[in-house]
Amino acid sequence: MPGPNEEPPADATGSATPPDARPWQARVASERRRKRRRATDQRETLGRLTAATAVAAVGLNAALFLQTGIAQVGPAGVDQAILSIIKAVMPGTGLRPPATGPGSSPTPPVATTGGS
Amino acid sequence: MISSPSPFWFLDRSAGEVTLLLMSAVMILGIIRSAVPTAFPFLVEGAHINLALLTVAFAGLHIVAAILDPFASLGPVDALVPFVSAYRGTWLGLGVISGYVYAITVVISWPARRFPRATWVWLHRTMYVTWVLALLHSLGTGSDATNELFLLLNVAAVAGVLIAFLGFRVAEGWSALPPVWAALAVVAVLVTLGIAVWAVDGPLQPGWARSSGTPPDLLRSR
Repeated sequence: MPGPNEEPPADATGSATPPDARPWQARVASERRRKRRRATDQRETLGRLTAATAVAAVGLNAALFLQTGIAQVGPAGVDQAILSIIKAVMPGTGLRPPATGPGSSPTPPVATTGGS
Repeated sequence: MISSPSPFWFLDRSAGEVTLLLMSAVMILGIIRSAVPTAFPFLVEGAHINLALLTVAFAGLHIVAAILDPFASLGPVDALVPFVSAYRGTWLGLGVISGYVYAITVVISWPARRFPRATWVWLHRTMYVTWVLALLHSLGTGSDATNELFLLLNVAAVAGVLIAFLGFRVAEGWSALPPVWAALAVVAVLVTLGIAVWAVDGPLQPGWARSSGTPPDLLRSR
């Protein structure tokens, strides 16, 4: 079990410190490993940052798409617009807009059963 | 033939706004990278490059959606040649020019800056003008200048770039050449105020669609 002040075990990148290495060699190897780890961490952070920004941009694009659509043609029109895009990309989906609720009848209701 | 607004019309507008916001973020990161080179250089430069490429993707979406949309009847020529479009030609043309300069800057920067350093630096400096052109295009051509959300995002983008320029770039250059950077700061503030006054007097007014050059038959179909 290595002590807290000893070098960590060599990684798989070939920068192992030989057992008979002098102290300065050990320090240089340790510094190299530290820099390599930091570079890897920064690359991972940059990747996460870029991915998060891309997701945010796509989400904002969708939100603005809905905003412009609803402002111009209303929610039903946006439903149609989204469906038309999906149909254009995937013609076989057979999607239909949601059924609208019962609207007002063009003629007055007619009572078919007896009533007072 | 005039048709009703299509989904591509909405996609065109949303992608255009996202492009402007990403471009503003790229500007801010570039300003920070230039003014404070020691501040997280790998992260700032990496984010600057990655967001610049993401901006290209959204700009592409914006252009393709504009061409596919039958409502405004824009074609590839309108997207490639500035100031020929029948739909708000002047303001659309500013967007085309902005797109060209942006694309040239990205292409020249990408292959490890193989161009002379001075060329690369000056081309990058044209991005300030490019960004202003993109903003004018967004306000002048966009149908959503009066939309509160779009307006809020545009104000945030302008404020972000202006604060980054004054707070980082001008502050950094001040010690070497105070008169030059004071003049540049004044120019930046005046340009921003000028755009704000123009926007209030133009794109934010009710009759802008007509005065900006929207074809009359398209106005009737709205």
